[in-house]
Amino acid sequence: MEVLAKPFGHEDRTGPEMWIDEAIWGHRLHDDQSPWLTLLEFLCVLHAENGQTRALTEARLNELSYKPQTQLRLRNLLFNNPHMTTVLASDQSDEAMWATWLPLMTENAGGLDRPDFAYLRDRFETFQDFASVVSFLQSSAIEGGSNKRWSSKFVFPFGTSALYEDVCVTATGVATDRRFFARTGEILYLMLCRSRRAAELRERLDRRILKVDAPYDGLIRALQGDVQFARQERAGAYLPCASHPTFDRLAEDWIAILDLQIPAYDAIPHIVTMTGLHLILYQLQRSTEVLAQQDPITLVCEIVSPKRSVVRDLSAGSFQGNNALPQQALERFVRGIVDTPEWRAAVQSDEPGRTWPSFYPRPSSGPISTMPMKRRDSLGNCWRSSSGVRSFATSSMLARSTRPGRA
Amino acid sequence: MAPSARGGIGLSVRLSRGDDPGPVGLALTPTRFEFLGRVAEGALPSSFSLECHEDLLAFKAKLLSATERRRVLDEDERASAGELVLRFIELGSDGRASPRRVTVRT
Repeated sequence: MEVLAKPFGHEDRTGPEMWIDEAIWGHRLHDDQSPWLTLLEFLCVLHAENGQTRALTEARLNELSYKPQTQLRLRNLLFNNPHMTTVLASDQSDEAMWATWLPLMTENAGGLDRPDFAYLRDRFETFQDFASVVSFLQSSAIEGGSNKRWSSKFVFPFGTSALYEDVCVTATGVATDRRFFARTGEILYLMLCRSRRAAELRERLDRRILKVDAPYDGLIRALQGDVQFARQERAGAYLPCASHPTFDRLAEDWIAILDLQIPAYDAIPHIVTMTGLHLILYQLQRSTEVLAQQDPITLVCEIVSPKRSVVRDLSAGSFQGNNALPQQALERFVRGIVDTPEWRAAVQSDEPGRTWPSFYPRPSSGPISTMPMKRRDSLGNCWRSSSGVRSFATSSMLARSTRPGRA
Repeated sequence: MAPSARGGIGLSVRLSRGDDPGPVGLALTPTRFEFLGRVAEGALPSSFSLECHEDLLAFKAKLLSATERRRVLDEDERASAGELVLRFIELGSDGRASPRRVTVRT
């Protein structure tokens, strides 16, 4: 199986400092991103790429770059609209309710250069109709009961108008901090791009999700108005495997679900569940590949019973064994660096900072010789640069690799 | 109620006079019958298995699919070009459901 090198075309100042778990699984699997949020990020990428007529197609590996929707007017109306309820309960005339609510909303809205919601008066006959539609869409929000910031809340993907990226809205503007869209959706997109059945899946996603003129999507369009896009392209996604059996199985399950005679809205929750399972299997499978283990991945599941049983013991053992695999893979990967010719050459060299290992991302600018090391041992555990910043220390790589970066 | 394809009796819901969309069926077992009876009385019993609940959700999904198809055939999704008509059902203080029509200009 071909493992791809880290792409250097994308300048990423806030990206990962150490390329370790990214090298094994991609950039990146993030434990704070639930399967639902992973699917929403995937749909964001898919819709953006479909707009460029290249859905589920990679012209060149690991060069994904897309411009997602932001839909900030919609999000303000659904998740940053505390005055609607009080105005609705004020027992004013319809005209007075609009007149009271519009200035409050304009003042409170975030992330918009020139907030103006006056267009809504032409779209709804009464303020109560408008409030009913907003309440309906709020009730269908993904993980709607969470206490996430309003700019990290998402409406159910009724259609393409409901797709937008996670952002951070502050007084100074809108930023992409990737708190909840942490690129796991990009990994999912690349996995499906590289599956053998990508073309068949593209046709089904197009027919059942992207090109459906769903009534509820019409509601969302009415609230949002004109589509809003991010100002810049999102690049830097990376998946190390050009192909993998997990990608093919994932695509097969998606196709099987999309072929069921049920509405797409009902198919989506099943897709989310299967996606979560396949991402776990991918993580475990890649771990065993790094560890050069031949045993197949097994997940022993217990049907919950009131008494402790042998199956429960087996299940607990299976969980613990699987849970330890990624950590073991990380350790093997980092320890394996010591065996590389570059590392051995660096150990022998008087100026080890001049030798840059091929497995590690090279900075795009600045002399490499700014990294002279003061001390070293055969594993590099105590190496420090002249500026006091630890560099290439295997222990810190392991510690760091458990924390995802932000870019 | 109709004979089930697997023997016994079942529910068969038909949303058209012809074959499009076709009938949607649910084979009735004593457990499913009891489950439906409890739900009809206003309870969602937790003593039934998740499998039973999922079976009914799958049946509902098939019904929605057939309804969607019927709407497409009847072309009644939109009142007119550029307008979307929704029927919200609201519960009054007496527990009675009352429909409310909402028109959205898209």
